[in-house]
Amino acid sequence: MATRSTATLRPPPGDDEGEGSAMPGERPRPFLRRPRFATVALALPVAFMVLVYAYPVGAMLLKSVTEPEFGFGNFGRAVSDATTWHALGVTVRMSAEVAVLTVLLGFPVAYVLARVTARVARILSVLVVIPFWTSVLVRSFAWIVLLGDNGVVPRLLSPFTGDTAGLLYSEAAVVIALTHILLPFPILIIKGTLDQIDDSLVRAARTLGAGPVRAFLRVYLPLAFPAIVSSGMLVFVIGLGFYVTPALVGGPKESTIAVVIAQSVQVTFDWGLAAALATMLLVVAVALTLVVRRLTKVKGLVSL
Amino acid sequence: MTATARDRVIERKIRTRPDRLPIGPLERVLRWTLRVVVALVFAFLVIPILIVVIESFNSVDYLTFPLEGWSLVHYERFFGDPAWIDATLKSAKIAVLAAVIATVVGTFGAWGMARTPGRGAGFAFALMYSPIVVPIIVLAMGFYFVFADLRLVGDWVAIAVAYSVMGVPYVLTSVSSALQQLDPELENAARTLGARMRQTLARITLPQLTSAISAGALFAFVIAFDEAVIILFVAGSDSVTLARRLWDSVRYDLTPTLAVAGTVLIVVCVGLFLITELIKALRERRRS
Repeated sequence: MATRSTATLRPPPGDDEGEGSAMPGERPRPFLRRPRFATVALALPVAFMVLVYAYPVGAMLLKSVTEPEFGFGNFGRAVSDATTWHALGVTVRMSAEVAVLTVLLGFPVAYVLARVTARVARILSVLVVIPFWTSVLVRSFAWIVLLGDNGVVPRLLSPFTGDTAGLLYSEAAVVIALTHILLPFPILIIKGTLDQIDDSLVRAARTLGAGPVRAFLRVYLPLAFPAIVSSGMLVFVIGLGFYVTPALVGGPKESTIAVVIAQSVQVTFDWGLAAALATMLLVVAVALTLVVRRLTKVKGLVSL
Repeated sequence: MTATARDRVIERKIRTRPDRLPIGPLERVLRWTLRVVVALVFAFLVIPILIVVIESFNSVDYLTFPLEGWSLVHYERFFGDPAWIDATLKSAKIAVLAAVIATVVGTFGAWGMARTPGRGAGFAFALMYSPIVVPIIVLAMGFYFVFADLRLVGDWVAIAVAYSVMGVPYVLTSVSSALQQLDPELENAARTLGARMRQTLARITLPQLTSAISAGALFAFVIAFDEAVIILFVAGSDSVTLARRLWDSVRYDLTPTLAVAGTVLIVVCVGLFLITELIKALRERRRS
């Protein structure tokens, strides 16, 4: 080791030059050096993603202004088309309904998960995450069974409705199925925030004379609010672009934007219009997601 | 009970359990309501999945619930039908390749990001994380156009490569968060002792990341195994995956054999999830 004694703090040549080069009395940097290993380790995945991911998405975006000819004609057609507006209205309304429902149903679960012991919380979390790992296709199929003619739900409701006709191929069916599919998101996001709320704050409010409801509404809920809003927005964004469930469980009257896009590609071969709609969808999704990211982070879905 | 006597009871309760306030009747009602609501939500989450599994044991040729009789006839039909078996194997083949690619890309990406200062890492993160944000229908169209141009429609390797893109963000976040908990001094120690960067990575860093990497890899596999949107655009007759067949079947013939296919998907995906939970539990036990 004696021969290396002067160089112990300097990484071997051609490797990471991080801290080493900052040492005083260091040799001047060689004019041409091999790139750092970490740079290469990062550059290869980046190159892969550019080629396999950014290029197809970019090509799609480009098609919105070049197919069939250069210009913004596709966007003009998309905006002036009544079907687009109808689909847009349906999509936004359903996504908003699903967002509100998932948050309303998810908050109590998150609240309980955050307050039980760690062991119980872990077991219950498994029940929340299992649906998340189950195929969307399978979960949509489950709702076809549940909501179809003579299905479980219509029969449970028959005392009120008078018949056992199915609820399938309606907006209600899509909203119910999507609520089921997206519910794990708010639960896990809100739980992540509730875990960090200091319980002694509520206890302090209680000892100072606030009732349980007041302490909850005035102290606890405001602290949970950012997570509630951001998880609702996340669900909204995912709902906007959802394809499988509306296509399988919804009817033709309830075509969402994603369904219209798929039809334009596969049925009418209007690639330009499809690309224009997809571009608008992408812009909205990215913008809203950036807002959500400012507020919270999704955690606990895939973690060790 | 007089007011002072009640005060004394409350005082004693506070003294014995200082973390618990005495529970009033209103609070008791609220707690029970909460419990009932939460139990109902859990039922809402889990029952539809159980229904699919139960439906697969149906003895008749149409979907009913409750079942008219239990039988394995649809399992025989599923496992006796080469089309379903081929689709399942094709899904598995595609998902394995997609998971391997996503894992390599995501792991090196996460490590490279953590060891690269400045803007570059931010750009790389945006690029590798954003597939999670992009609506799948948009991705599907992008792949469709490129596949059509390059005559790749139906090519299973190309499909696997496309799927790997969707797994990268999950591997990336899983490995990144594990890297943050790693002691950077270990890498520095190895480097000061003369190890080259790639030796350090292979011998010091990666072995400590195995559980995070495998969690990411398993999820990447699951995503690719049951992906159902991109495949609608890029599948040729030669690359009908299980999800694709399931989709066609849901659209056109709704039979209980479908429920068997669904059960296969559930068993594979939930099984893999339980494996990640097991790895997590084992790792925590080892740590403590």
